[in-house]
Amino acid sequence: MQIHQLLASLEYGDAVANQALAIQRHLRSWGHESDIFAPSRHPLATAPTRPLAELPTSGSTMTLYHHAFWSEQIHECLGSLSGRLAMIYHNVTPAHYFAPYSGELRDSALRARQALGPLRTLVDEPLTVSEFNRAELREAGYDGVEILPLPVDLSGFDEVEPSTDVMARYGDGWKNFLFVGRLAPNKRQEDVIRVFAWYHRYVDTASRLVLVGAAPEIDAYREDLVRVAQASRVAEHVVFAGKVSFSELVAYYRVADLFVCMSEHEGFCAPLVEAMSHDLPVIARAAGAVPETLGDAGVLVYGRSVPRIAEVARLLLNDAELRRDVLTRQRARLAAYAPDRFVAALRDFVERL
Amino acid sequence: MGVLQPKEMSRSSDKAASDAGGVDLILPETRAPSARVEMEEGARARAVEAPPLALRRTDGLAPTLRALLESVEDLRSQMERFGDVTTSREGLLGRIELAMKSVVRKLVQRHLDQEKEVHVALLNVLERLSVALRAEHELLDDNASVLTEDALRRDRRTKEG
Repeated sequence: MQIHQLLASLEYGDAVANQALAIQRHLRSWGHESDIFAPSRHPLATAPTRPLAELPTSGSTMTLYHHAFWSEQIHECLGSLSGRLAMIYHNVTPAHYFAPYSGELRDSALRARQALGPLRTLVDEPLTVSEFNRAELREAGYDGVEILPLPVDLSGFDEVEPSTDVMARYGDGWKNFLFVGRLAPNKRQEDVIRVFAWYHRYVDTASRLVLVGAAPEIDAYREDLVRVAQASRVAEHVVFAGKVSFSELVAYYRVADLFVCMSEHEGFCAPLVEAMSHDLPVIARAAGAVPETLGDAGVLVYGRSVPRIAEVARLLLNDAELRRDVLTRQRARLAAYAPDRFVAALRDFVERL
Repeated sequence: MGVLQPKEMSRSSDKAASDAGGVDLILPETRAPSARVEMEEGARARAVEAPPLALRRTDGLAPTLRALLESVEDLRSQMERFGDVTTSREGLLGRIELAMKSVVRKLVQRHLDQEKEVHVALLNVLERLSVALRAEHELLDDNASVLTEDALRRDRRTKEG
């Protein structure tokens, strides 16, 4: 059977691309014909993609469309696909987050959300990656939404040598705060900086914050973050690592002491799982799908009380018993993301076809 | 199909945590209360060290922020109506008036487009400002909640002296 996938863009290292590649790998191993069609791709993405013009227009096929961004080209071709259409909804960041920074991104996010309604008539199999996303789809009028868990493949972290440069530079005994995720207003990196600044100024000056992730299309947000760091007088201790290689990512997780996520809107947030797999205590804002992803692990935060959140960071870094308790729960939570759960869900879906 | 269970069920104190300090510690019951006390005491102790400005209450900001948000909404709705052609007349006269106004509008379309670009730019500036102000307002309000009476008195003394 032909089961192809359709993406607005094959990015490098993001959750959507990772899921598409994992789906392709398994479908092929089960004997299905499976290609990825995308109008654009990140320069670092090594997996092959095919142009939309080559999408089959006849025959018995299933197309899995990953909906996360707006793409005019994809939208135009969705109506002319042959066979059945499944949509994997990865969530769309609410447009108002982009409004102050990029009219283009705001419009794109708005159109991606507005498209959910009309897409309902085309989609035979609605799928998504979290209960939070499922609730959004139901609100948009979708019935029978199934969950296909994100494949959080943690085995790769043990197979890659961590970057020696990163290990040498930041493995110096200072307390390293870490957040991993593209620089985007919904992720509220400014709040992470403020929490870190409080900790750095009033608790321990031998500390730094590393923000892994880039967002070249909204440079203005990055500039705002730099201004927040400067105003908080911690600019020289905040590292904007940008887009990093996998080897560097592994190293950043290894040298980190604490993972702080202040995101206000997440459809899943895979870095939380990666952090837990690296035995990093997690402090996260209770927003979007974050509470669902953490389960009963980590430390959830309500509101923006910087002094209190910084104090929790101090406790997690200095109270060995507390840290051990949190890590024990996090290790137990990782069982929910065992690769076989994703494979079983995918197999169920394919067999049902 | 495998479904990850939502975790809200396993958190016993979401509402209580939200009301009392804004941080929910997921820990064994025997450890959570003491950790919460340590967190509150530590936050208060360090708040005394913090510059008063960083902790000042922000009551005065709320009306300004509300007015700004109302202005942004007003501008947005006016922009949506910008260039609309309407008439209060009915029947044939109304149709003639609308047709004439439409012709005039076509003649000045270039000017209208330019004005609209300026309005969009202005709206972007105001939206950016309101988002920043709202974030600061929430942040300062939350921070202010850790103030002890001592810190408030110290704040007042600093301003007076």
